[in-house]
Amino acid sequence: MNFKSLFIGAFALLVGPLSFAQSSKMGQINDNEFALTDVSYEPGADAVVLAEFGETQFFGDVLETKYFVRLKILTEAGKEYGDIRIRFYSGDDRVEEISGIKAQITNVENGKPQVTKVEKDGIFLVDLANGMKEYRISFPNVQIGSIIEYQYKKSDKNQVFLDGWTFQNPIPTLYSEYQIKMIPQLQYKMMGQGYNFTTRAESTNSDGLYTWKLRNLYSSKEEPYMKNYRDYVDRIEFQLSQYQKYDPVRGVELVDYLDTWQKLGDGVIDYYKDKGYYRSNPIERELVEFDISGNTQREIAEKAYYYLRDNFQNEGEDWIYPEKTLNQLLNSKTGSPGELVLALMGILKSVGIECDPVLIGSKGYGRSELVPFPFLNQFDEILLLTKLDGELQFLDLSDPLAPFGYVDLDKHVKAGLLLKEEESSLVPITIRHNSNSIYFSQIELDSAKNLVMKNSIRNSIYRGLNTAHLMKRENNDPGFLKELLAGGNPNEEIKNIQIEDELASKNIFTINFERVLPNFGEAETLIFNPLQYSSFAENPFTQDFRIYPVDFEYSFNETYNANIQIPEGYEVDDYPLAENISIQGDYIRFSFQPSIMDNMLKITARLEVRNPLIPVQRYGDLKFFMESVAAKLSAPVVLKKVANP
Amino acid sequence: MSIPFLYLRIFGIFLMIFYPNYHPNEIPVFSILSEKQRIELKDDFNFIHRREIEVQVLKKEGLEHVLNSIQYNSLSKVIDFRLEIEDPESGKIIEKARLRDMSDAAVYSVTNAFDDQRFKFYNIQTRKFPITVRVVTEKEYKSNFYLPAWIPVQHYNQQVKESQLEIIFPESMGLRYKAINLLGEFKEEKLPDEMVQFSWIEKDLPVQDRDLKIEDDHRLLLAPIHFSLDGFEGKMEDWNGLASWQYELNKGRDELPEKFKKELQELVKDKEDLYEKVEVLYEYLQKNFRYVSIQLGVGGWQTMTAEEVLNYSYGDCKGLTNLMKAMLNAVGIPSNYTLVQAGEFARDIEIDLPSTQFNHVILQVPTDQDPIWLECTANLIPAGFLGSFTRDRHVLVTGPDGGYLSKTPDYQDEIWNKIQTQSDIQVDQQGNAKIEFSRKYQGIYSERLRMQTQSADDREQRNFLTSQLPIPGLIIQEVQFQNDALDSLPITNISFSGILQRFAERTAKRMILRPFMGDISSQASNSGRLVQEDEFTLELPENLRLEEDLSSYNLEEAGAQLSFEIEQEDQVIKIKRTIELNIDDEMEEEDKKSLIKKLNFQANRPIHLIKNYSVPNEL
Repeated sequence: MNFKSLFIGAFALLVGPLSFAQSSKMGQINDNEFALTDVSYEPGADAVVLAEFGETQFFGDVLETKYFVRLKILTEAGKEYGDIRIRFYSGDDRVEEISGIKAQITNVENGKPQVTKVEKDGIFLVDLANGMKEYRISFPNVQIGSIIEYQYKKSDKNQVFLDGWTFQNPIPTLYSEYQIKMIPQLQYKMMGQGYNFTTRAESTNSDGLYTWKLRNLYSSKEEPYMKNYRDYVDRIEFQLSQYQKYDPVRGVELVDYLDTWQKLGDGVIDYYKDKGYYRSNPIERELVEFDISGNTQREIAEKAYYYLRDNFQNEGEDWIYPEKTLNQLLNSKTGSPGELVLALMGILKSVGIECDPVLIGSKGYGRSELVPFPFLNQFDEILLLTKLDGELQFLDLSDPLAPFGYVDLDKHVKAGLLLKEEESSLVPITIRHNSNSIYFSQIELDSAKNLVMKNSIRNSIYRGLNTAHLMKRENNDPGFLKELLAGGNPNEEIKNIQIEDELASKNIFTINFERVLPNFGEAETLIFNPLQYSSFAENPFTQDFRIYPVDFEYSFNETYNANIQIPEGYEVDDYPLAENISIQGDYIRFSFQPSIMDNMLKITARLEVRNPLIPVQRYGDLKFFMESVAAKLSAPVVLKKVANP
Repeated sequence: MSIPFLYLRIFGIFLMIFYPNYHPNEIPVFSILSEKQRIELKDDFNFIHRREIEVQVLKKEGLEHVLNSIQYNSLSKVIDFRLEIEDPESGKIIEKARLRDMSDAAVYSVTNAFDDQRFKFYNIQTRKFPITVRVVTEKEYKSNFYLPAWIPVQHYNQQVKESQLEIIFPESMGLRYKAINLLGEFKEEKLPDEMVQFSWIEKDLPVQDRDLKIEDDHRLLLAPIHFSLDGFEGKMEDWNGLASWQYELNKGRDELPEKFKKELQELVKDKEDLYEKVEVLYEYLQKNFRYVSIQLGVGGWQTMTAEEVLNYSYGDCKGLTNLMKAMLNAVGIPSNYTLVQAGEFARDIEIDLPSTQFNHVILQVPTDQDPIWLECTANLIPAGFLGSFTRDRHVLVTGPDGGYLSKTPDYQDEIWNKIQTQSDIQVDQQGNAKIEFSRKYQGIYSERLRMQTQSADDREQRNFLTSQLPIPGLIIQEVQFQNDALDSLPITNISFSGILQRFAERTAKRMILRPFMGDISSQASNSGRLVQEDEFTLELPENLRLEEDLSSYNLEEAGAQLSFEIEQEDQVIKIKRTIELNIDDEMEEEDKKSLIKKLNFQANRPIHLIKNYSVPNEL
């Protein structure tokens, strides 16, 4: 029996929409859960979350969430889910505590469920570091078909930002339910996200009890061209917006906690002030021996940027809360990207250049769209917005190789919070750039009958920055670049590599080199591929289907030009045909055009990513499109000796 | 002047121009070290390990060479740490720290459910260079079972000005050592109170970089003769002594309940052959028990009892091996608990220095011929097969009479290194195709495949194949992964059917089939052993013939053979390709790389088909 018919045969055992309700009570496993052997929409899954529940309630100044998880082991490899880890932040003051852990495993033996409880000797508490702790549960008797259940309570003294609930897991989830019982004393704003959460969550609200249910969720796993897949996970969080206060005169009243962007911004600015980043004295002392004068504001800002980039170590997590004070930063000559960008602000302000920090939620931080409420925990990194000679300019100090004005690609998000005293507000982040690649190849036979391909790869802006990083690798691992440029022919040589790093001045990074195939021109026919160098000579999309959209990060184009000098005594026998293709929605285009002029075969091709975010529904088209591009870019040219020259 | 030399020169010049700090023949130095270590062993088998180092940190990268992290567990304790940093320019001390300034954290393990490994660390704040860092550490060990090796050059790009080791031990305890590539002085001295001091000093050692071969490193390995671990005393004067101690440590921990023994006897009652009996019980172990690691104190060496593993249905390598030993014993098959230094890239133990050089346990079942080896923590491999984690190395077999060194199999023969492919491809006029594909992997190739796909669901299996197999445009429709075994030989059969989008690119006069036969895998390149037999049948649309540039050929090089046969009959092309690798282990890496490149170029060429009719110029 082949796999597919086996699959169809087993379908009767698969769970569709569950006909029995899932219980959050330990041991109350329904018949469908016992019968389940595979997940219909993710066949072959190692394990599945049958049901998980979260219930949050307030008890005085403590928030308590009860967790219950029931999962089933479906394959041999799935037995790894018999080891569970629960991490929490205890801190010095028991900020979070875990209690009431109960765990059991149910195996069906001779048709009857046999329950084994996990005793204390199967539950370990590990003190990790910096206040982080972890409970580890090792379940006994884990077999294929075992149903694992565990529950615990987490108490949390933090009532400003509530953890909320993540509905998706690394394995498929058949049912996930979260409820929170709100109290009148504390008012929260909700932040929900994810395609499933926004389109098909079943939600109810009754007397302050809010419930959300989601069913049949895919596992959350990495996919190529989607490095921030966590931003698409279905989840929900909360942030305190108002609280009740008793006034002897007015009675009970609601007080805004963080109800405006201005108030939120002022809070962050106060934090930065406490760390000294708005003080001018330390900056002035620092700049005593450093000249940042210039004719224009841009010139001054560039000098300040390069001073910090080149004289300070970029170390530590990119985060909106600086650890170091400005003085510590200046003394240690070391800072995180956030600290360095705030120091840059100090320098620019000290010379009268208008600039302010902008908080952003970077790609991969877990949020695909900004929530239109002043919630601080949607931000994780800082940019600087300056006005230079009347023009707005975003600045970033994340990448020690990046020239002035480059902003880390993870920070190219739609909007951020501009921090200005009493005027903080959301601002759009528009960073325009044309990060393109031009591949040029001049191909000819030299007098010694070697086929010489003089190549130039010119990458601009962020593609150029990528190349600069490759060169850094070359510096540490000499020979790496040569290997990267070499093709599959063992006789070829890569020669005369020259690098032109003009990223800072012209936004261009160029690699020139020759690829030589010795003694090539003796044969009756000469067959070679004129377009050797492309990011897409192989189709990067090999998966059958995807769960997340394809994200190229930014629009770009790659242009390929090959000029083939037809050698004396040869004629063009064959070449790839012209082609122009696109996909529905015109997200991406490709054109390929050969032409013969004056003893020269010219091939021009262009790949254009017009919209970098391609919806998952277009994935099939994109896969075929890229296969066509790869086929065309790897097709050869054939030259043939003229029969009677 | 040879071309490679010319190339290097040009490239060197290029790097000099754009990277002025790059000196191709000089290893950059990030720090300069002077160090003194002292190990003082006591009669009660405890010892103190004291280190005094002075590091001149020349640049940021050298900061990693400063000793600022110390690991400990329930058998050891950090008792002193002092650090001071001097600015050589001003002579001032700019940073100081003591033990109380260190943070403490668990060593985070994804494999151990629970252990006692922790470390203390101090984050150096200074980022000014150059600086001089002086560190003193002292650590107390409750057992001399394992003595730390002395490695004078501990970091790449570090210049060692001087490194010194003194070890003081009671004469009655005894000490053996093995010096590897040491260039300096050794002194032996008798001290009062029947103590002995050995000392070594190394000066001005060459700076190392990542190209250093591990066998060229300077090392000193130490081993006590008399030792004790948590009250369990033993002698390491030879391998037999260490094996005896290990046997005694686990003695009596392999008892099984009578009921379970009877169940086991029932399982094998119809089996006559020794291997078959072992296989049945091994598969029982694989199916019903899983690997969970708990390492606490002496528990790092002493097994859980077999009954405990039975109750929990889990255990670590010691627990599972001990249980398997007990299970075999229950059906009358003797077996031996065996210590091994595991790890795919681990070096072999120093066989002439009996000492604690092991980190894993396997089981040896003696037979009249070669023993059966059992890796009891793996549930992916057949009984008797050892994975890359433990094969081809020396191991210490333990038993009631002590023990001896043995060697695990190396799987060099063809049967353990074979891949066979059969594939039929039907190409249509548009250049798309249908494919039926089956491939059989044997031995080490089956093992790797099992590891790579063990937790893959249906979608991930397909993704694995489409990304790993170099068949352009592949969309798999139906797939089967089948793990099998012929006794201890693991076999994996993969078969699928599918379509190939844009498999062939059409030019004006030709149809070009993109390379689809595949290169030699990196696993085969690394192991240097492969017998791969592939057969491809291509059914073509009408009016296409094979271009003359591709015909049958053979290639023979030192350590490699390639045979490529191709023929066309009507619209069917048949290809038979055989690649054999038997590369000398001593072959230089660069030579190996160019050999593989040469083979790949010849073995996986595109196929050009000429159209028998001409088309108008489409320009």
